[in-house]
Amino acid sequence: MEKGVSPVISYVLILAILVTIAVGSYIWANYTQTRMQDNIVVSNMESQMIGIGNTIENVAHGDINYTLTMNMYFPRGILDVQASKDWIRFIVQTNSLIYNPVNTSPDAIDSCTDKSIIIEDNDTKINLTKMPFTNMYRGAVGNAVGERVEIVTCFPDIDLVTGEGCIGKSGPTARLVIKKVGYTGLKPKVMVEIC
Amino acid sequence: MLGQAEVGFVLRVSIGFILLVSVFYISYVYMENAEKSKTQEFLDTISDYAEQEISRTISDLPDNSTITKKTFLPGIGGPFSGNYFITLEKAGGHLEVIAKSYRWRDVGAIRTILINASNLDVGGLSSPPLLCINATRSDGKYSVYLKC
Repeated sequence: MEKGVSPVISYVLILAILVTIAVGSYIWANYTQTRMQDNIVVSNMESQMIGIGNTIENVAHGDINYTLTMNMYFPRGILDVQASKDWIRFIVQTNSLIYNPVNTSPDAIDSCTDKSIIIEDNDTKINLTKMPFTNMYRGAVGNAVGERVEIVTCFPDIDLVTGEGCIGKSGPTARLVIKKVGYTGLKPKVMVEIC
Repeated sequence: MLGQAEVGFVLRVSIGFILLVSVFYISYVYMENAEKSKTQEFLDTISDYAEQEISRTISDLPDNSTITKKTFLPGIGGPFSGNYFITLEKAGGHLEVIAKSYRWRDVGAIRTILINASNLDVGGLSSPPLLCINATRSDGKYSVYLKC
């Protein structure tokens, strides 16, 4: 009998190595693809939330009854108006790590001011940090396996109110109707409907 | 007593049979998963469509009025036509549009609409080809039903 590894065992070993490489590549590619899709959803929504901020401010500086309509697209997540906090909130569950979670800060409060850098959403317990030169805050809880991402556009100088009817919805499409309805003291009062 | 040849034959036939059954079973599971996946995709599209129609109906609803809307659901005559239904349910004060498959219990799609209402009443069921929405608004109270 010949010495060394028999040809059959060699073939089996090579086959096993090839299968392992193929499975490993598939798992890695699948994870990367999911992560890339999540990144697109979140970065796209960031842009749209900045757009919402600009539109609401435009309406707030217009005449009473000035109305603008905005159509949005987000494949996943839920968008709603939080009138008591004067912010618009978007929440989505991702399959990967998008933002590094921010630790609880003693300065974090449940509303925004002109100077706030970190705020905390008491409903979700997520700490949100301000994106420079915008009125948008973002944050997440979770880890690389999956995290809940929250993006908020906050209006310290505007009194946001909701109309009767839709105040939020899940994706993929949403229509925002933004209307200036008056003043609360010196603050412009803007009604937002998300249908 | 069976001879070595007979035992070998029986063994070969058994192994062949087991291999054949395995191939059929794997194909069946693969086909079933593929069909489930397609059904899920279809129900996602249907629920997006239904939710959009319902939310637009609510948005366009003046106070103290009723709107009845009938639209054709997408995919009529397609492979999934007639294999699903849409219901409205209330969960945590929100309205949920749910599309479910008659065939697969674990396949479905949910879309949520948040409504600011003093009272929200929802229910009903719609199945292809029509989506029939009946929405009423009266003094801050909303009633949304699917009924043809």
